[in-house]
Amino acid sequence: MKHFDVDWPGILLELELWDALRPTARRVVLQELKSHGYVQSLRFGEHVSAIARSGIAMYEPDKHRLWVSDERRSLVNVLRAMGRHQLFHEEPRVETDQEVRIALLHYMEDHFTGDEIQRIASSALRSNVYANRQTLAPFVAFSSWVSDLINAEGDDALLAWADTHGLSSAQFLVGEMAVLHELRELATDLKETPQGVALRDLVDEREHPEDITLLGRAIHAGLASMAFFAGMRTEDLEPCIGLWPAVAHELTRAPAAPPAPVQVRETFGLAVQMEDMTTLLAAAAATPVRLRANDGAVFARTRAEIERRLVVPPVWAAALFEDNRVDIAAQSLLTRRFAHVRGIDGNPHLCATQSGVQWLALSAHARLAALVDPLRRSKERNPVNMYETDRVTGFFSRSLPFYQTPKSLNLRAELTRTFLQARDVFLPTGEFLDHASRQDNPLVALVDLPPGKDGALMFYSGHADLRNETRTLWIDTLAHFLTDRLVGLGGARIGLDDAGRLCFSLTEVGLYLLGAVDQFDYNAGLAEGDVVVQPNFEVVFLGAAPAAEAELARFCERVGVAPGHVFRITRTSVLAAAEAGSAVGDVIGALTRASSKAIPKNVQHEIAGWMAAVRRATLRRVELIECADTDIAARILSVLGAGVRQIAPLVFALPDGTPAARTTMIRKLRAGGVFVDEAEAPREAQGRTRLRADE
Amino acid sequence: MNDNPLIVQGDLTILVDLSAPRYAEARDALARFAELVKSPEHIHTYRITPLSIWNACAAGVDVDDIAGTLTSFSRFAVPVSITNQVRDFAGRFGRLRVVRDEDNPAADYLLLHASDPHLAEELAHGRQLAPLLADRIGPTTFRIRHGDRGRIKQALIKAGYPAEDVAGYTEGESLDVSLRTETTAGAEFALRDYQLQAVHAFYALGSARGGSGVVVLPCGAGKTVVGMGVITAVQSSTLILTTSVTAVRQWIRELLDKTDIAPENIGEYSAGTKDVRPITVATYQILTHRASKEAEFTHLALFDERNWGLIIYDEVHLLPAPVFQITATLQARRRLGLTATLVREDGREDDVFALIGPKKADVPWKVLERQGWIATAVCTEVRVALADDLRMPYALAETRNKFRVASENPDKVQVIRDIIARHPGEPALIIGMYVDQLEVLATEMSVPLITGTTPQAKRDVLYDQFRAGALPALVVSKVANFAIDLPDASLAIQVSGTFGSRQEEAQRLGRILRPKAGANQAHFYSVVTADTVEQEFALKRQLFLCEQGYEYQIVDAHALA
Repeated sequence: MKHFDVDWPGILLELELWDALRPTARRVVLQELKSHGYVQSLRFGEHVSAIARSGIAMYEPDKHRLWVSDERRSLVNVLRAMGRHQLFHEEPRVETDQEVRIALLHYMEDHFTGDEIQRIASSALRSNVYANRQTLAPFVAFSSWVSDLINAEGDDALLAWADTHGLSSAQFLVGEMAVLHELRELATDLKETPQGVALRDLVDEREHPEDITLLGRAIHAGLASMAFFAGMRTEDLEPCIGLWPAVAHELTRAPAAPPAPVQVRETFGLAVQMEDMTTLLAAAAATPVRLRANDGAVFARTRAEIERRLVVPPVWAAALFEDNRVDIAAQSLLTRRFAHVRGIDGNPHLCATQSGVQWLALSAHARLAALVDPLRRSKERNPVNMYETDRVTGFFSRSLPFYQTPKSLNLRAELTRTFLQARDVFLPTGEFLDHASRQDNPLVALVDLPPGKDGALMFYSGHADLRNETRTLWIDTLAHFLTDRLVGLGGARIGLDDAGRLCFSLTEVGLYLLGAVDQFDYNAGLAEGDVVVQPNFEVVFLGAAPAAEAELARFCERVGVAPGHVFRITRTSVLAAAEAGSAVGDVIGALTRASSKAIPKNVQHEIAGWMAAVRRATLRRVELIECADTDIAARILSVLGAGVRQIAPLVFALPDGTPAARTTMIRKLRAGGVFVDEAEAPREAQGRTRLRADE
Repeated sequence: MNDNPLIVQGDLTILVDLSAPRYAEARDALARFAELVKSPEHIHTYRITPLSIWNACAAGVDVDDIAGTLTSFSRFAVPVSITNQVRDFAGRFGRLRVVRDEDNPAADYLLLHASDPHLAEELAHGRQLAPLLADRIGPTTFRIRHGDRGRIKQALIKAGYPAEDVAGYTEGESLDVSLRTETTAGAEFALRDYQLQAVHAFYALGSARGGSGVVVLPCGAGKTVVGMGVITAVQSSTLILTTSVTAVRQWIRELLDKTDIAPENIGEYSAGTKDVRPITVATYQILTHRASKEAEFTHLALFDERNWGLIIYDEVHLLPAPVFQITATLQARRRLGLTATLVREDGREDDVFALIGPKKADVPWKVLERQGWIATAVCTEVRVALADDLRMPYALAETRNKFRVASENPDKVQVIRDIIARHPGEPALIIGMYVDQLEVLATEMSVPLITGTTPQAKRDVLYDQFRAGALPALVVSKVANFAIDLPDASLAIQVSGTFGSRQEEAQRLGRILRPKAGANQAHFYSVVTADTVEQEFALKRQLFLCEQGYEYQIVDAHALA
């Protein structure tokens, strides 16, 4: 330890010097006093006399400066180190996971060298792989890091714990087991006080000097093993120790209650993944979507255009949906072979395949069934191959990091049982996951089974301590299934309750996916707000109607995202839909289904007129052969015959523009004594090559 | 989500669901501070603008009241940005006031008071404003000339600080005039409710908070009557400006028919007659006439020839630029704008509001149609194919000429015959833009033609014959677009128009909207050449009427044969 490797029994006895200072004076000491060298008295302001009187620092004879004596140097170092980490608060504070994680990393960096971290990690993770603070922190911050100490009954258990937490067991075998026992008792007490305990109080509880010595050595061991953390209490800068606050909270937390059904005030239940795939594929079917060559992502401009057509989930549900929905949809289309990547002008483009076009032509229900059925039919019981990246068609959307599981383990059945709690009711997602991971976690029962063919789970390296991870693993598994498989495919309707909590309830699609029913109706339960198509070609949403929004977005221009004036039907947007293969009936039908009022006749007529005006032509690349005179033209005709088409007296077209045909043509001409020079194509005509032929 | 009628959107527009239970209540509350933008069948759109908020503030509406209205009638949570913007707009109102000098009420200047010296300083250094501020007579007070009152208000609105004008109006020459209870023909006459409300909203019991503004009513809904109602409220000499000599004479005819004013108190001021009386009706054309481009607008002196207490701008959406300019100097006089279509293709609607005054009344067309005050109109777009021999000239023509080729499609003649045949006995107007085309039509169909070159006397005769039923149809150019009162016309056939002009389309429909005896039904046909730019322009032209709730049927020409 960098700062805490000191004589703790001595430090505890010196703390009375600190007691003499008021919090304001303490703050000045922590800010200004250095353990080495002199500090101008003026810097301590009105507190200078009190500080000098306390004995923590001393005046120079002329009282112009203060300095720290050798006897007090360790104390000042410890105080300053504790002052940098105000971990404990009298009033509980709400801190984000990120803030907590950063605080822990700062603490570890301040107090432990890289070698120390590596040593603790090696013993704790039972692995010699390189470990750093980030590797170790999740284990230190997990409850079992300390609960194993508290639960260690007897010397052997305590020694085993010491061995795996960076303390040398040999040190305690030589007659100092009392320190470990004191450490355990202290940890048991500290469990009850997440706000930390003042060192002064611990000292006061002990009457005999030898008890204080034992306390000091236990604190030293606790700090070295990161069972304890030392810091100042925020309010009064009192030196405290405690368990890592989150660990203390976890150890004292009451058992999670089963989630109770709630009433929701807003809901959303669209199969966003399917709708995104449809929107992207419809665009790709009309015009191939260019992809970036380096990472295969959709080009930003095109992505932005497509994103304007995607359904916008309500703000309160936005966290459930990824930012890069277009790229995710592209990946899903490719994996299912609804699209493929084709090189056009040397650049990769996403194009619809024949099966993709067929999928597009299906009804929304059938399109969704095409996505859900393979998942439902999947035989997968446990998603255990962590290196498997293709999780598009598996039952689970993410893998778990096991290389061995007991034969009896059936996570699919456990997951299904867990989610079926949300049949016909809305459950708060947070409480649902919390309860499932704490009280209803199928992985916990496997932890203590002996390794073997049908024994415990075996983790891939880097995931050595199952006990630390069972909770987060099961939460992740359930949460990803909820977002990727249920919410994304319309299997769960999400909602917001009056307390602002995100809730969910299984839909028919979800029940079907989980095998609880044999068929589903995608539109069942999609409570949609009114949509009105106005004669001025505006589409007004009088409430949230995501299914209609997804459908209409394919042939309307979006002008808004919230209920209100959401779309405008324009000639351009309708023609784009026609180009993607939509027929008049599709468009009018979608409008009719969505609108609660009759579609104005002029709107119907215009749409029909616009679509009727659509004509298709074929654009093809050809090679042109230009001849200098009619003699050369005759020679070419005689050599290539029907292989070329004469489109002018001195110009021939090679209908098959492939490189192979081109090469063959040049070879034949050369054999016939006609040599071709390749003319440089003008920039705007790139892709069409002109050849000049000479005898 | 509830069943409240308003959906407040982040761009300051408000959608109103007419089927919601509290619609009527919400509409009345909303109308105080938002402008009706469009009113199709199911959903109306209102817009909050700085001007609409300032007008609401001027009428004494509190900003908390506005926020409360939005919240209580909104179906979803009102975006916070909207409330903030409304507060911001309202916060700017009243920081500047135009007042008379109380110590010297007869002074030839007014005072502009700023709420604080910083604002006064900003005005004094404003590029547009500084030249208009005559003197600074205190840290927060400027002296301004009467003639600059309008320009200053206009500039202040553009600068985002609307002035509260409480300097009042010139009362003008007194004129004793009342509305009749019976027309000269003996029919009962009284202002309809919506007309009365418009008069009250404008006059505001004679206070400085009223007296200037625009009344928007559909064609045929009796805007002239509203104008007469205002004249009788103001009881002062009045200058009426309108679009044509025909309209001038209609005003005079209506004034004589429905008020007790003596004929000798009404004068016509037009190219042929320069008669200035207590009520004078003039055309915009004569006011803006000048001998050459460099010459003065000599007839603008009409504004100063009498001490007018009221100026009425008929068809205010057509107000020409010189009249705009002179109106800026007429802020001491009460000003009433009348229009059916406050759609200016030059986008100067805001100038109308700034110089004439805020919108005081706006009744959706379909509301009056349901109440029977205007005829029910069936709008139909008839698409005619372009003959093969014209397709190539069309294809090769420049864009502008393409429109003309399509508009003058000769096959439209037969379509017009077919339409008239479907409506036997219905007085018909055939309206177009290109005189050549209209001449052909008039000749082929043996129907009189009125264009800009038709002498006024001949026009009057033809209009009278049409009104009397002696002529079953008239072919008219754009001279008949506005302010022509042909009550019995129930069939209008538009054969060509000014590209995508929305207000022209609406005004042409308006020619046939006066209530009819019997079924009170009118038919409006727009004949366009299919698959040409004319069809695209037709779509744009129809926008205003679609937004008023009119629904176009689209039929192919052969369906009429």
